[in-house]
Amino acid sequence: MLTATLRAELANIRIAANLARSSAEVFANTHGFTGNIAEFAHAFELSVSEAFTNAVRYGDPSNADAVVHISIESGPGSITITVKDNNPPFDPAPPTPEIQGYPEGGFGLFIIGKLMDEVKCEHEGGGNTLAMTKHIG
Amino acid sequence: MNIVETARNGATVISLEGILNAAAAPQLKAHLENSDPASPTVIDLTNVEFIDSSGLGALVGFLRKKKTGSGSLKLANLNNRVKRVFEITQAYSLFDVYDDLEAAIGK
Repeated sequence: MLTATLRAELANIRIAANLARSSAEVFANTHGFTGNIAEFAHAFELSVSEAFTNAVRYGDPSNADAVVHISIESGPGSITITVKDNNPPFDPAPPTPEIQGYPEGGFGLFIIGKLMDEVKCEHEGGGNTLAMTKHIG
Repeated sequence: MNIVETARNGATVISLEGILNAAAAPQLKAHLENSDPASPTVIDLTNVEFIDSSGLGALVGFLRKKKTGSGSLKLANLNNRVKRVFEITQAYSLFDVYDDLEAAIGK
């Protein structure tokens, strides 16, 4: 398992997203994935960008030491990327924004749910763990 | 994110380059805040490497401003990564989207 700990700040979103994309790309290349690798990797890049953004946005802005943990775990036929924060619990299934209402936010978990095969959200130990999984084959 | 604004055939063309996420969205919003809500505007996304829902939110907010100001907003040159976000969120139903910048300016 690969892990990374990043300060909970917007400037680190891109580091987390790039880590997710490159890990998924290598996983797909080395595990016999026969689909579109760029799309597969982009799904993780986008999902982690959304998850990390939420972790920063809903954190305690007065806590300059806040961090977000990223972990990447692969099995023979799946890869899971987990984003863990130290924030209060959030609704894992919020209402989907109605696009005709010109929403400027609220799509993060919706997008993750569309891109991933499995999404698990838990609140324990004072933080949220969002595990995002895709299967191959 | 790099933002370049030019005037073309009576339209304002705003060309975006780079990553459009929550770290970049405030910069884009600040730029768009200063634009004339009544003027026809085309946003060229050719060089947008990545967009997420925060970036989309900045565009949606600008579109709402345009609608209330009786202006127009067109988007041009969405790559596959940008298109995917528009498809998932159904943002295509809000925006006028063109495959070509010239077509967006000309219509």
